[in-house]
This record gives sequence, structure tokens and C-alpha cells, in this order.
Amino acid sequence: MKKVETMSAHCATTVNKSWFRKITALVMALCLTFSYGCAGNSQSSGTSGSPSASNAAAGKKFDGKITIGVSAGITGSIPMAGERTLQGVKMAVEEINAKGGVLGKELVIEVADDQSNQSVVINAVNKLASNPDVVAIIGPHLSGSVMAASDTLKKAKVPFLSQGTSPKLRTIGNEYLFKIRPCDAISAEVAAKYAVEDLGAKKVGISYNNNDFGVGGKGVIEAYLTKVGIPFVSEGHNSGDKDLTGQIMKLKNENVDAVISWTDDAESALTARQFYELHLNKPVITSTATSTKQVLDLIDEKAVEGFYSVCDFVITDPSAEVQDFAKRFQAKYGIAPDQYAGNNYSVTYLLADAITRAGKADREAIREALASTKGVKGLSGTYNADSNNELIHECKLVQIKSKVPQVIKTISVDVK
Amino acid sequence: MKKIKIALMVLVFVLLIAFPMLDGNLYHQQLMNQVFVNIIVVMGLNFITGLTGQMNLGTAGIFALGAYASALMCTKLHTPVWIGFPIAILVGFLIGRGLGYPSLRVKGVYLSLTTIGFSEVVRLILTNAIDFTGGSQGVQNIPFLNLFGFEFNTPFKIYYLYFGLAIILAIAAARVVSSKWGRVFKAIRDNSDAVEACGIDVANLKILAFTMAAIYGCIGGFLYTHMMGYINPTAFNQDLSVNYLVMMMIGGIGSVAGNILGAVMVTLLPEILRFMQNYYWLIFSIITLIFAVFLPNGIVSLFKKSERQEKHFNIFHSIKKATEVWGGRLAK
Repeated sequence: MKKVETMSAHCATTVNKSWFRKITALVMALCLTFSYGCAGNSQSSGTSGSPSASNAAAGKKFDGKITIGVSAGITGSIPMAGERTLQGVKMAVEEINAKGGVLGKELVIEVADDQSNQSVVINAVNKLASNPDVVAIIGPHLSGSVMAASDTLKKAKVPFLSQGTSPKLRTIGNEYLFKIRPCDAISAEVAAKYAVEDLGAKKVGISYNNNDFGVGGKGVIEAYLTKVGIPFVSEGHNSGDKDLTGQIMKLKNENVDAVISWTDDAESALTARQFYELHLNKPVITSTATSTKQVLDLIDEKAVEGFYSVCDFVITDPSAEVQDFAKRFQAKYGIAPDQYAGNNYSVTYLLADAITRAGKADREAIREALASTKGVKGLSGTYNADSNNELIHECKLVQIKSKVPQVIKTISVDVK
Repeated sequence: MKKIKIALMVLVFVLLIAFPMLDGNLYHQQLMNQVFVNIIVVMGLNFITGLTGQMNLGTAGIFALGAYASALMCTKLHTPVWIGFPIAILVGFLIGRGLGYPSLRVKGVYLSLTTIGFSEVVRLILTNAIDFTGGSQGVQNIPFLNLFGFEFNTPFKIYYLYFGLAIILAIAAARVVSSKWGRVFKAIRDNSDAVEACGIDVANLKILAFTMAAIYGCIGGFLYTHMMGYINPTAFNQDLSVNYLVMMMIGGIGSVAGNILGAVMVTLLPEILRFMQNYYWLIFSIITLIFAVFLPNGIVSLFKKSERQEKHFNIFHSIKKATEVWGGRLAK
């Protein structure tokens, strides 16, 4: 009797379990269908966010909407960059809408996380481009991501503004790609120009990383020095090297007047430290790395004092616009803005300006307007489009004083 | 039962054939193409990890080699694109034999370690051999596949090609699973000592399973590279290997149908959830976790269990049973 009871109890639990299983499956399936249904009509409603709400409260009337896409790495390997990008864009959009929007229409953004990963980038930009309301895209921002997305956006004929700085982007021939930071080749030329013209170097040493970035920069610097007839010595190192004594002693023995160091974050810190330890005692001009907080944190104050660095946006830029932006950003988000926030804030204004100049929210018209950009003021310089669709042709030269980068000069190259 | 199954399969087949014609959205077509590629890779992983029970965490390395082999052949040597297909199979074979021979003689966690090591080595070589592979900037301008002068240059055309290939490879995989090899693979997973006692060369069969996994992985890489047109090493990291493992776990270990379901779900779900903006990855991870907790044998176990328990797949029957039980409880 008892046995029968346990058996039936057992039977009940199994049935119960399978029942539970099916319910779970059913609920999940419903969730999926529901979410898919939402995905279809979320595009206009989910993206407007707070700006429209605040404007509705203010009683402003907009005559429709203009949607711009943002592809940023909100998750993935560099989420901080994605977050700052989004904050910068959102802040600019709110300000523009508060001033009456663009062409009398409300500016809204549609965000797609690209995870800084090339497969996901393709999906993110495809999703943005497949929405006919998206007239232009800000991002993707890594050079590799740009190369992955380039073909898709070219076919879809969507103009996109990217922070990629690799000189390789010049060769992909995409008239829809606009570059909003100085190309690495421009920065390198600025460094060489400063060494010769301002520091009066008669012989220049080059310390470079053996990767794409370093070798590319070295090529540009050597070409410039050859052109102006200044002798030079080049010494390379590899990513991950821990000792550069050999290379530095060579530069020292060659009696160079100035050294240009073109390398990545960790190697920049190492170079600075070993220059100091080996008493190089010559002016040093470096790539952007040395002016960033993460690299300065790795170096002793004495070692990096007086170094020059070429960069495009620094928070210590004394110009009124940058200081004003930094203050408002800090007040809004409680954190100091970085290059991503500043450049993307600035580029949102550039895009709004281009839409106004185009006179209509049309992809092709906006592309043409962007390609004919002349003299639009931004936080990192003046936007001027050239034949490569590069918009910035100037760099800030900063000098590190007590670990704070101070802007000492803005150097421009010719717009080709 | 069998009739329902066949009818269901035909229905899905017809829907998939009609899908790109009805829905002209390039984004959706591109996503489906990624699903097909992922299905192929997961079916491969299923041979070694799902059936044979040997943890392979090097899928990204296999996938990357398949992708790069074809991409570099096309862009550097300007060979016809289809050559990449036999090359992918050859590369897969070499990886399977070359890596499988030393590493499958060791047991347990050491295989995971060697495969992780392998995939990292591949990624680092691809990143640092700048002159050969293009370094971190990757390989650009990879041509689309073409056959007899017909170029597969839009997601729409690629869709049908990859759909066909996925079906052929799925049928092949399903045949292997239910063949003698498939049964030995499962036996090795369950008790490798017993298999050895039967006079079967376990190490050799493990290498065979691994080789098939590598071949499927390399074919996947080959299809991926000619779909994307641009590859760089950053995409082939450890996350990718784990992602394929997740697809297999979610769908159902050891079953081809489960692999397909898992690949579909893990590829499409994050995209469907994008409307949640900043929270989509969080929600996706939670859903994955729910599946892992409540359905440890994958989605496919939902159907399999009911088959065995009730002889036939009849959801109404089980609902009726369940309501009886619940009704009985309420009566008390």
C-alpha cells in the first residue's frame, strides 16, 4: 500500500516537473515574442529619452524628429570610452534641442552597442543603417571597427563620423567616412615640425614601437626630416619590451638634439623612466600617450617633467570653450570629461551644423554638407574637410609640468 | 510522431527559404548568415566537447586559422576564392592531427589548457606577424565567394548559399552522431576505460573527433571571412571560444538539433534585446543563466524528455495530466 503511494507521489513529481518545464519554456517563448514585437516599434519611442521629455515640459513644439545613430563600445574591452562617448553626445543633443533643435525638428539618437568587436560592429551599424530615419552615424570609433563597418555603410550610403586615427583609413576609399581626429600621420608630422622649427634640432633621434602605429609614425617623421634636410637616427623596440638601455645609449652616443618617441601606453612610460635614469637630458616629444592620465600615473614626476606631447583634446586646454565644456560636463555627470566625451560632444554640434547646411535630413545631402565643411569651430580645433574627408588638421602641443599637460602651442598642417 | 516531426521540418524549411524574399531587411539577412556560420562551428565543437566530452576551449584559434588561411590566399596570392574551401578543410585536418596528437593523449583539464594556449598563440601570431597578416589592422578587401562567375556579393545571395551548406553539414553531422563513430564518442565520454577495455584505440578516436571539430570550425571561418570582407585578430579572442561553448550548452549537448537551436538563440537573442539599450547584455546574461539552471541539458531536452516519458510528443496530454494533479491538490 505504502509503496503504491510513494510511486504515485513520484509520478506526480515527474509530471509536475515536466509541467513546470513546459511552463518555463512557454513563458520564455512569450518573452521572446514580446521582446521581438517591442523591438520593432521601439526605434522611435525608446530612443528619444529625456530631451523630449524636458522639452515637452518647457512647452516647445518640434516639427518632427531627426534621428542620428551612435555606434559605441558600451560593453566589451573599453566600456569607459563608450560611456563617455554617449555622455558627450547626449549632452550636446540636449543643448541643441533646448535651443530649438535642428531645422525646427527635434534631434534624437539611436544607440547601438558595438562592443568594440568587429562582428558586433557589423550588426550594430547594419541595425542603425536599416532604420531609414537614421540620417548619419557617430562612430564606430576604433580604426579596426571602422574597417569592418566601412563596406556596409558605404553600400547603405550613410555618412559616419569616426575617431579612428590610423593612416590606413586613408586608403579604404570610402566617401561616407569622416574622420574627426587628426590622423596619426598628421600628429607625427606635427612632432617632427616642432622639433625642427621650434626646438631648433640639428639632429633628431626617433624611438619607435615596431607595430603598425609606431612604424607608421616613424615613416612620416623620417619623410619630413629628409625633406627639410635634418639627419636622424631611428631605434625601434617591441610591444612588451622591459628594457631599452641599448636603444637609448645609441641615441645618446649619436648626440641628438631632440628625441621623438612614438609608441603605446606602457612603452611610453618605460621610455620616459629610462630616459631619466640614463640622463638623456634632451627635449623629448612623444605621441599622445604621455599626455593621458593612465600613462602619467605610471611615471615619476621628475622623469616626465618638461616632456612634450602631441594631442588633440586635453582638458587643461585654457581656451574658454573647453573650460566651459569641462565645467558643465563635470556638473552634469560628476566626472571630468576625457577625449571621447569632448570629441563626441563637439562632433554632435558639427553634425547638427551639417544638417542645417544641407537644409534637409537626407543622408546624401548631409554627406555633401560634411564634405564641404569649412571653418566650423570645435573643441579640438577647427573642422575643415579635405579630399580624404579628414576634418581636423591641427594638433595641440602640450608640455608636461608637474604631471599636468599644459598647452603651449597649436600647430596646423596644410589642408590638402 | 514521425509525421509531425517531418511536417515541422518542412514548415521550417519553407519559412527559411521564403524569409529573405518576404523580409528585405539587410540587417536581418546578415544576422541569419551569422547564424548559419555559427551553426556549422557549433556542430563541429559538438563532436569533441559534446559527444566525446573533451573540453575544447580553442575554437577561436581554429576559426581564426580557417578565416585567415582563405583571406590571405585570396588577397596575397590572388587564388580563386573557392580554393579557400578545400584549404579550410586541409587546415582543419592539420590542426586536428597536429594539435590533437599531443594534447589528446593527456586527460582532463590539460586538454582545456592546451587548447586555450593554442588559440592564444594563433591570435598573438596573427597580431604580431604584421608583414604577413596585416597585424592588428587585419586583412582588408577580402573578395566575396564566387562560383562559375556568379558572385555572392549581397547578404541575400549569401543567405541561400550558407543555408544550403549548413543543411548539408548538419545532415553529415547528424549521420556521424548516429553512426558507429558517434556511439563510440559517447561511450568515451561515459567511460573511457571501458571503451579501452573493448579493444578500441581511445586516443585515436579522440583525435578523429577533434579533427572533425577543426574541419567544421575552419569551414565556418572560411564562410565568415568571405561574408565580412574584413577580418582582424581582435575578434578571435577567448570570448569567442566561450561563446561557442555557450551555444552548445544552451541548445543541447550531443545533439545536432540542440546545436542548431543554441546557435540560433545565442546569435539572435542579444540583437532582439537591443531595444533595451544599456541593459540588453545584462538581460541576455540573465536569460542565459536561467536556461543553464533550469535546462542544464539544453533547450532540446524539453522535447526529448517528453518523448521518452510519454512515448509520444503530446503537449495536450501532459497538460491534461498536470491539471489532474493540480486539481487533485486543490481538492485536498
